[in-house]
Amino acid sequence: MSGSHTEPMARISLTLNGQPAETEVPARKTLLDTVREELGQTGTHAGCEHGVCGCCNVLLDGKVVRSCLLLAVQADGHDVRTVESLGSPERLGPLQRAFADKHAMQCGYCTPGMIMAAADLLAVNPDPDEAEIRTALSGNLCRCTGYMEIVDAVKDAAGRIARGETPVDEPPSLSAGAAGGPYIGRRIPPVEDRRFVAGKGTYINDFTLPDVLHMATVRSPYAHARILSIDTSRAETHPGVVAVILGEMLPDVIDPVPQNLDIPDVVWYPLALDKVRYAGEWVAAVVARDRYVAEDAAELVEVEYEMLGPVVDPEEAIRPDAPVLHEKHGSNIAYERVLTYGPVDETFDEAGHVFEERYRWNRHSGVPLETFGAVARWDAGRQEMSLWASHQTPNIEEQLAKVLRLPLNKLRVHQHLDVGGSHGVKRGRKHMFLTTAVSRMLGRPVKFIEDRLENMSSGDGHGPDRVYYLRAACDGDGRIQALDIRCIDDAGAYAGRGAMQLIKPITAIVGPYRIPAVRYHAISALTSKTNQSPYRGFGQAPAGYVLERMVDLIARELGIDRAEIRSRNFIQPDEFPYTIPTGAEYDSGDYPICLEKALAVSRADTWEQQRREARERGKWLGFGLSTVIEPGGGTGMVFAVMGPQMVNMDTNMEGIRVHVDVTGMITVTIGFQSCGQGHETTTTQLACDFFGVAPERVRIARADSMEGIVTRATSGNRLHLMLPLALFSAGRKIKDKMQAIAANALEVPAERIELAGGMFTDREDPEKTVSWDQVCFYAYRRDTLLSPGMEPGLMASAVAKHPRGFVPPTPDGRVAGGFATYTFSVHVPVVEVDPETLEIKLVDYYVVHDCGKVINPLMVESFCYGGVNLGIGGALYEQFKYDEDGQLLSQTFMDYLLPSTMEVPEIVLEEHETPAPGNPVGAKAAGESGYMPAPPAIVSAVEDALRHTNVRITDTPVTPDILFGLVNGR
Amino acid sequence: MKPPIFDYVTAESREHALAVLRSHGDDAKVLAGGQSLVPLMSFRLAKPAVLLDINRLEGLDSIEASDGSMRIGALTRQCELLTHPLIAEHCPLVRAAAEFIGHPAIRNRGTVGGSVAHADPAAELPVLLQILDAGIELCAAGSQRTVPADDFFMGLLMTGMNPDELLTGISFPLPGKGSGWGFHEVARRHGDFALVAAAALITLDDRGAVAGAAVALGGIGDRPVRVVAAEETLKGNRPTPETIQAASHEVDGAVTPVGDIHASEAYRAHLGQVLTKRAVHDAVERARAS
Ligand SMILES: Cc1cc2nc3c(=O)[nH]c(=O)nc-3n(C[C@H](O)[C@H](O)[C@H](O)COP(=O)(O)OP(=O)(O)OC[C@H]3O[C@@H](n4cnc5c(N)ncnc54)[C@H](O)[C@@H]3O)c2cc1C
Ligand code: FES
Ligand code: FES
Repeated sequence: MSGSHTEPMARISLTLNGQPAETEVPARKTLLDTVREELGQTGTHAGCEHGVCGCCNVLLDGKVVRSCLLLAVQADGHDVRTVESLGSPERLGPLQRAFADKHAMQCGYCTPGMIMAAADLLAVNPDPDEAEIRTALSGNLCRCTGYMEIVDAVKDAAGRIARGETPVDEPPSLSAGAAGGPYIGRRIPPVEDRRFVAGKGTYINDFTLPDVLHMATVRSPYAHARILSIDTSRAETHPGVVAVILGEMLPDVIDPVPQNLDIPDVVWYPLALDKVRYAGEWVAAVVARDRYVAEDAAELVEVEYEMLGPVVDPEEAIRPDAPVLHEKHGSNIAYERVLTYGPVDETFDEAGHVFEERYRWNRHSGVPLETFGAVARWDAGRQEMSLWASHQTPNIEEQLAKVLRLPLNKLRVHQHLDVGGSHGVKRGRKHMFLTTAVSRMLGRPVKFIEDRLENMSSGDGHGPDRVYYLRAACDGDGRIQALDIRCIDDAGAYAGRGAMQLIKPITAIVGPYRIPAVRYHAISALTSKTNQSPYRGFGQAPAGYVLERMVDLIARELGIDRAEIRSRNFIQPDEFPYTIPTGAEYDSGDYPICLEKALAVSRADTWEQQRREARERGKWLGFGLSTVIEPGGGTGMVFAVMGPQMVNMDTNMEGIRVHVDVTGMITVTIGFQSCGQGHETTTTQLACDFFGVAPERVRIARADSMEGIVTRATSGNRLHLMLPLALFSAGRKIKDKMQAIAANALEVPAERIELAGGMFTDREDPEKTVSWDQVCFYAYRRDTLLSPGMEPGLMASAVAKHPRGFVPPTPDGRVAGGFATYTFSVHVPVVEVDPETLEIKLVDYYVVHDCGKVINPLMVESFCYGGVNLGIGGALYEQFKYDEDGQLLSQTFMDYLLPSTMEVPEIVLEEHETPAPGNPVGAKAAGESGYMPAPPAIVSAVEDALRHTNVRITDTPVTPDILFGLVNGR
Repeated sequence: MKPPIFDYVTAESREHALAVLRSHGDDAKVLAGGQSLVPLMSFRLAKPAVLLDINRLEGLDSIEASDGSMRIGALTRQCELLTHPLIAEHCPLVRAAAEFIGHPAIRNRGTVGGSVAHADPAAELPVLLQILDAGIELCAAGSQRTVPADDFFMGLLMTGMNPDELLTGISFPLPGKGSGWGFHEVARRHGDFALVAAAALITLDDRGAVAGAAVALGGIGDRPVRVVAAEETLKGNRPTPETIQAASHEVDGAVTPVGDIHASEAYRAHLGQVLTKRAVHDAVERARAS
């Protein structure tokens, strides 16, 4: 029915942020789209478009409402306020300032909506307590933080408003939050936050081009079916539609999506060719003048299918009699390898005890609040493709060049967008290939912003999905001697990144424990589901989960305390560097002391008493424990275990360019975009300390792919290591040159020149000095002061080599070195279970975290809190659940449950710093260790709460319903 | 996820609204708070040809209490239920239940009438209407009727309302002296629709025995239901823990639980009993204290 008649329009006039605004809009256009697209206020964001996430919150006549659920016509004559009304980056209002100072965000995508909810609260309750704040913000989801920072910011804002603080003029700069140096190691509010709180982040959906077309997909309703025919005639003639693109058109213009595995017969195109292999798979793409029209026409595309048997369960998928998704490939196994390290069978034969269990880690993922988006423009005149996308995909330009069959130097991938969260999953390769291909086919710029349904059902953004069979051999003291692991990973319909995530765990397969022999049988199964993307930890999280669960199981069976058994098995501090059986080498750590700290901070000596007291209140209290390793600083070599085709994986190097200009200002150019990690801030901190300058002098720029900055994007959790290496190396070249110029100017030998406080000084005659600015000027304008052969100017670049380089694995799968750093954390969550309803409530949460030297504690803490938030989701709430027909039952935020302020408790974090050898600041990876230890720790806590029932929990997520079944022996 | 095309009509007056509904029948949909309807349209599960926006109608958003009864206008925003003095004074149960509806931004826009008309089996207000013996006021061009809650809710998102009718308000007798209420709910997260919600209204006589009992459950089946057998078990008896327990066991025969991805039938049935017990218990305590 829809779209069969012309678009009814409405003229509206409203007050927007205090100013009269008038426009004519389609009657069906939401206020959200209207303020963004017609009225130019892009601070209000779309996260779900169905009322759940709160990203789109605005004030309507002073009250917070969802602008995605309000039609613009309904706001006619009303007062609408968006985050922009509260202040600008140069003049932040008190609420914005509090959010920025407390670093109550990472990616900033949820921030404007969060701030508007807080504004509504503070207007009626100027002095809210913690519980009131949490309740008021419960309808605003955040995937990056642990909410504590946000709650804190609201409290802080209440104080500021009470003190009558008004907006102050202050340019957005890191120096606003930091006085003098040194800057490394300080809690400096990230400079990025200042644009985010003002609604001035620039995300992909804020980016547009003249004449741009919008795309929407037609998706398969069936999990496995043959496409018999597609009738596009009604869609094509629909007013406003420019083209309907089908899969069959693609092989002429692009190559298939690269798979990383040697599986030539698993052919993957962004749009299905002859078959659909999962419900939601894209069958056609409709390109139209706007997204509304594109969606109208998508409904008019008629596809005739012949149903085939869906392949839903990964264990059934790999049976010989299962229906095969890719007939030419011959089976549903994408990858299989048995890796044996050490005398596994012998150890099991002789072991005093053997324990075994089956574990199920169900599909969940990062689910960033910003969906994936891309804008592509084919410039036929220059024969050049430009792409802007909300991605963190390493080597995307290289992949694009191959897929589009274009020389690499005709591709410009821009890297300056703010990405609204990723947590690993913002890869969108198929999206980018399709958008660029369509732009070239049509000769018009094309914009494709996934909606939440496309994102959840078919965005290739799901995380690992695994069945584990685990056996452990140990002695009577609980010392683990061998592990035998069989893992079936449900990759989805095409290999995507699933198989790679299955392999990373060999870099830390024994966790923090001294286990001499391991067998790892890894199987990647193809099923009727959307593909996996890398998710926080790149497949390591489930591996850590099952190991921790097994350690708990052994402890329980042998009657050993959970902390004690871990202590007995720990690799000791004096054993580093420590090589595990797979060949991976752990750099450093002190596990016993971290465990000790965790037990102390969580007051382990009172646990028993607390359990008793809770019982008297009618609750079961449980304490969890996990001790988990986070391999950081990815290197491609590990993946060469997967076969010769992977040997061209690179060594995860990272480049940088430093430019000190004629006026003495420093521009550091990096080649990737950030998804909330605050790289502009950390890089500035590094540059300030390296050059001894104030932050006002430093600016971080982002190069597009044609500018020759070598990058691997924000992958492998390694930029904390690689950025200092690269920056100091490029900086060295400039500093040396400046020293030489200063020496020439002062007519003393260069070795005597010292740089401090912005002055180059002769160490032997402190009277002789020349300023930083003067030297910069000389470098560009005084040839005479340059040493012989010296080029004018101050520009240097460097490519940092990954500390572990690239050493191919041995034929039997031993890796030489593994990842660069090994971070360690201990989690102790405390849960309360209601004995009758079996509701599970997290009441406390303790973390001890050792990630080496911390460049900015404010940021690292936030990574940790936010990681716990995601871990709580995976442990208790989140699951991409499919029914037996392969229909995804949790496609919306009503059914895929992201934790809110009310589910994430206050987290107590203690840092322990064991500096990492082998990088100039001693930093380790810090991005994943909030997340990975959380599910095993939380499940351990729930099991502990139910200790009297003898219930054993093996699967994630654990819900009250599942607990009910377990308790009742179902 | 964008809504499909529709003709947008602003209701100028009640008569105008009713005329529009009469002439378009099933093709028209009333737009109140939009907190349920707009998502459905954006998912393209609802495609009304005509959207009748009633938000500018006057006089539909009042809360009144008189002669021992209360009337709440259909356009009353759910947030009003949390702050309105008449509700705090006469029927705090409504406030307690409304706190479970979504989040501030939802309640600021969502309406009482919308929640009732939408008839989500897991919504809080319909459960309340059941125990309050509420009447639902429906208006069509030239006619008006009040339907008892128990007849109104017919199934999953199904009501006894005709396409040409507008829901104008709800009314119910105020619980009298000696009565107490209880409301309990389990949801997956704070603010989510209930897996199961239980509401109870108990009146005690001078001797402390149950003179009147109303117990209802939401979320458990395809509509909010009165648990008459539980009420019968309580009536005339002293509400001892044993009696309350026995009453809660009556849930089993009285409702047909449904299962979905958030809770199995068995778990919902179990919650039905537990929450009935808790709601009745609280109601008895409040009745005793009153
Ligand atoms: C994130 C989120 C969480 C939520 N959580 C809860 C929750 O926990 N509990 C809960 O109960 N609800 C919840 N809701 C739903 C919310 O309460 C809605 O407001 C309510 O269901 C519908 O009311 P509305 O005024 O928004 O109606 P609308 O969405 O405008 O309309 C809903 C339906 O009722 C019809 N209708 C509305 N008013 C009338 C009328 N006067 N006469 C005739 N027909 C009418 C419409 O035609 C439509 O079919 C939630 C919603 C969201 C988005
Ligand atoms: S975009 Fe409106 S609530 Fe998510
Ligand atoms: S900062 Fe909240 S979602 Fe990223």
